[in-house]
Amino acid sequence: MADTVAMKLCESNGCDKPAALQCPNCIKLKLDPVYFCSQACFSKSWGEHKSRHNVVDPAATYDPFPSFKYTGELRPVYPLSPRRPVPEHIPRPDYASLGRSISEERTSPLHIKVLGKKDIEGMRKVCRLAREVLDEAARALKPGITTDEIDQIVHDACIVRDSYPSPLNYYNFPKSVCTSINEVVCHGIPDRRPLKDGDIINIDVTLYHGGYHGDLNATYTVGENVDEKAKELIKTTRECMEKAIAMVKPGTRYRDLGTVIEKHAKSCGFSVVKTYCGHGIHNLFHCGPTIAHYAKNKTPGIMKEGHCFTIEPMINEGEYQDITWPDQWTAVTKDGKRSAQFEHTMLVTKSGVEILTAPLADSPPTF
Amino acid sequence: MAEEIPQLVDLDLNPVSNKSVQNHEATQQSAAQVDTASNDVENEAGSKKRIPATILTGFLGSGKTTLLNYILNENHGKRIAVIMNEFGDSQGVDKSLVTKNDKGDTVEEWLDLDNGCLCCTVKDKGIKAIETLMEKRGKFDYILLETTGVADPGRIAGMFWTNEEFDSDIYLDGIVTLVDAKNFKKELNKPNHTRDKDSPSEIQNQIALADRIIINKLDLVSEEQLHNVEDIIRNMNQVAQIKTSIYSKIDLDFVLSIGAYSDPSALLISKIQDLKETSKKDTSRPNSTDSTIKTICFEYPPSPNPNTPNNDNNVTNVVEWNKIDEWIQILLWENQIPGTTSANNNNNNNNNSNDQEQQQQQQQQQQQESEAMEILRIKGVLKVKNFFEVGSPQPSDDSQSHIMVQGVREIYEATKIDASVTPSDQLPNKLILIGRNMDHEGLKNSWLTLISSN
Repeated sequence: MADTVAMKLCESNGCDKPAALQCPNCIKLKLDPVYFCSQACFSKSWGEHKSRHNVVDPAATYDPFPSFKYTGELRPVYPLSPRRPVPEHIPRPDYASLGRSISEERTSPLHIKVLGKKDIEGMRKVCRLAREVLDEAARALKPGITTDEIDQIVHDACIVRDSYPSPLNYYNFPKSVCTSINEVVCHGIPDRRPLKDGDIINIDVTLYHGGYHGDLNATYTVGENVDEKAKELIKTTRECMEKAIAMVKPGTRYRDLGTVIEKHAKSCGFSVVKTYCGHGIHNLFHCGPTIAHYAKNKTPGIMKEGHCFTIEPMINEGEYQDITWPDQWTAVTKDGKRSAQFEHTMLVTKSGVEILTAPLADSPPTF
Repeated sequence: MAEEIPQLVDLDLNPVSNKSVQNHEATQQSAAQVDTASNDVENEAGSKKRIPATILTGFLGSGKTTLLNYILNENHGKRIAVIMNEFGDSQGVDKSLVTKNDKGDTVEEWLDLDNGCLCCTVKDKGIKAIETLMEKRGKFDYILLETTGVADPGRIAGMFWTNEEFDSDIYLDGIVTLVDAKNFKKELNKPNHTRDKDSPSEIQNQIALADRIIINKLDLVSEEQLHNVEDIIRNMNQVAQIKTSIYSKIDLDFVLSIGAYSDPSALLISKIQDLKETSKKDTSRPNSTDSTIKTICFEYPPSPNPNTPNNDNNVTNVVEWNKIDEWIQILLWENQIPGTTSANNNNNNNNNSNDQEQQQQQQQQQQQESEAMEILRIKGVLKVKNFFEVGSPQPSDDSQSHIMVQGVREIYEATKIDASVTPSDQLPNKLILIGRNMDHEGLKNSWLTLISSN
């Protein structure tokens, strides 16, 4: 015990004296301890040090479901910030006010729309914008930033592009982006939890612009201390998506995509989430076809030129099963181990596939 | 505003805050213990056997409520959860397959009954609600899912069936349809343009998709009337088992242990065995395309000449599974007769984003769809070459096997028949289609082309 105390050095820049004193605010906020040798050193470092306290007072934040049996370490950090307004001049999908999409409910999930020239132009545009927004959010990632701050960035970036953030109020989803940390499989709700060094986070962005939705997501590492297993998981997940995309061309059966994804995931020792699927996307956020990412699925449909859909495998470090938090959205792995995901929106072309949400030259790497 | 820099603290001299930290840890620890305890319970329950779910359909007045009351009050010694759901009435059924699902409060009300049964209303967009219900309310031997009039049993069945891919504890046992003997014909002949709850097309769907049909209110019709109703039903669905009842009183095993979707059983195979190849003469209607539901059965190889032994023929006529698989896909997924080009699929160049035009186009499309061929059910036992399951590589050793094909609407599955269940020489070679607007001649020609190709 004494030894470890002796090892602690003053946090102040340029001072390496042994230190035993702590900042009272850090203690109150239950932050990882840092030490100072004296009040003088502390005062000198204050300007830099105080940014550590840029978390909401824990007395004011709370776990909204204290009796829920969480599967991992992650907890929701409420209260959520108020709903962000979207300026009147930006066209919005029907659910923006209703909280449910009548247009989607009226469309048979079996019908796969063949996009015309104008649809394709609209999809190219919105998917490019969605890519820009995801990149902007990804560049802001660092330990300490809260997912709510990411939500603000995404929301603002959508509005600058005259776009409605598609997740907002979709079946009452409260935020403009999904942020899924560590054991969260998908649909994490941005809240006041600051990202930690070593986290992995998926950012799932969808924009509605010119009457079309564009949808993509990617998983990123936070800080410098993400372990190798997590990086392997992220890499494998992206490969799973890429291998599935490589199969996209007219004549391919939708059900066969899952075979390739599951084979690759399994070969790396990971598992494929079955509950959530890829989907058709154009004027509607979610529609036919259904894209199951697991092998041996009975999903109907054959790809045709002009079909537009997402492939978005969720790959787990442990078991494939997931459960949903009482917030009705956040899907987490049943065993609390980590999950990663990648997603593109793509168009079936005459000879193959056009990835509409493809990375740009300056898109940030995932790790 | 000026900032105040706080005074540093030495934790060793500050036992209060130290203690509060310890307390915090203690709380977490006990929470963790609780977690482990409840996990154990879950593990124990995890080894239980899967629960069959029967879907009960029937239009208003067919006696569903009477049947449910009978189940819920009689002392039959079975623990049955009767679930009345409202999820059938929207596309939301399939939402559980798409990425977002919205659950909300699922259970509306409870009713625990003296005979160990449970009755409740579930309002939800997926099966997860029922699974959660089962987790919370203990174990039941059977689930009986009562659907509202609008509910397309095919959609719900498809949803359950797909859900089995998730290793669910609940599996689809079969679809039971109740028919009111007295009013059946009247309901069936109602004009079709009304989109009200019990539209004739829904009634047709319910008959077409049924594995078991109960003709109820026997006391209200003459024998002749009953035969008439039976004939109509038989003409639509030749595969379902039919029973009659008064006041919905029926042997519960007829409703609860159907096994219509389980692995190929001797019973299912024998039912298919009994069906005769449908010849063009069998259909009473003069026009080749028929708007009502009917059953078509193909033999394979086609109607062997009884004078010549056909064993050798059998061998030469075994078709690659791959080809049959593709044939079924065009039929079920594209609603087309394989080998023909359809005029229905011409929506390639809709360059408009004008809402009105789009609506018009949608209406046109709906109209086309109402006249298009629709296969509601496919069943069959076939001998094929080089069989492979979805996701497995296709073999090329010319191995032959008997398989069973099962399909509800666009979802189908093919499984190998275990030779120990039924010896291969006793197995039929038949494919059965139940659907509407089926061009018998065209389908037959397409089928013949398929099975004569090698």
